[in-house]
Amino acid sequence: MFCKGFSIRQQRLIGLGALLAGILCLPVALFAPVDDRTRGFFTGMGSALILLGLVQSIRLFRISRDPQKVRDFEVSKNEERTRFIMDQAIRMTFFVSIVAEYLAGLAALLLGQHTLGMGMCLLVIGQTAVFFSLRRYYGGKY
Amino acid sequence: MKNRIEEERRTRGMTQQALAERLGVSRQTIISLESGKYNPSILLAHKIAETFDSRIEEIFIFEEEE
Repeated sequence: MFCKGFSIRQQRLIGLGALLAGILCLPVALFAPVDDRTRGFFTGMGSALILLGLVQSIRLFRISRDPQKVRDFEVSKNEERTRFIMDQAIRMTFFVSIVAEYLAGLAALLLGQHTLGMGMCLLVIGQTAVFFSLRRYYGGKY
Repeated sequence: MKNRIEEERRTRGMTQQALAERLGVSRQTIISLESGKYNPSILLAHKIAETFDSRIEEIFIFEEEE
């Protein structure tokens, strides 16, 4: 899912680590004497990690039961179609992130959150500048 | 780009799995190639053509508007 280059065993450990970290976050959210913002952070983070760990563990359990799927999984880590799919996903993520950040910045400015709005707009400008710089660099390289 | 991978594979009595193993790719890649959803790199196209003892242009049909 998020760590294609690792072996099944390594990915299983990462999934279990995420699950464990999520489980450890929840008691902090529920019982520690913290303010509401910190409690919200630990609840959200804990739930997300538990969900991620569970999805990863179930997926890997299903793959590891079938030797054919294990072979396909190992091969697909390094094949060109996987790299192509990853490139497409990264490209779309970048595009969606830029648009979302821009809209969030605009909303923040309209709602009077000037510091946040300016921060978001500067982030969009920074990312766009990095994009054009890298495009120029790779244009010269290839 | 159209291709004749499925046709050539069936002529040789190969399964998608066998072809995938021979090319060092996953079965899903063979499925995507055969359905025309994915166009291979020149290296993989060369490997496929070599597997079928053919030239690349005999397996992959290039169309002008592409």
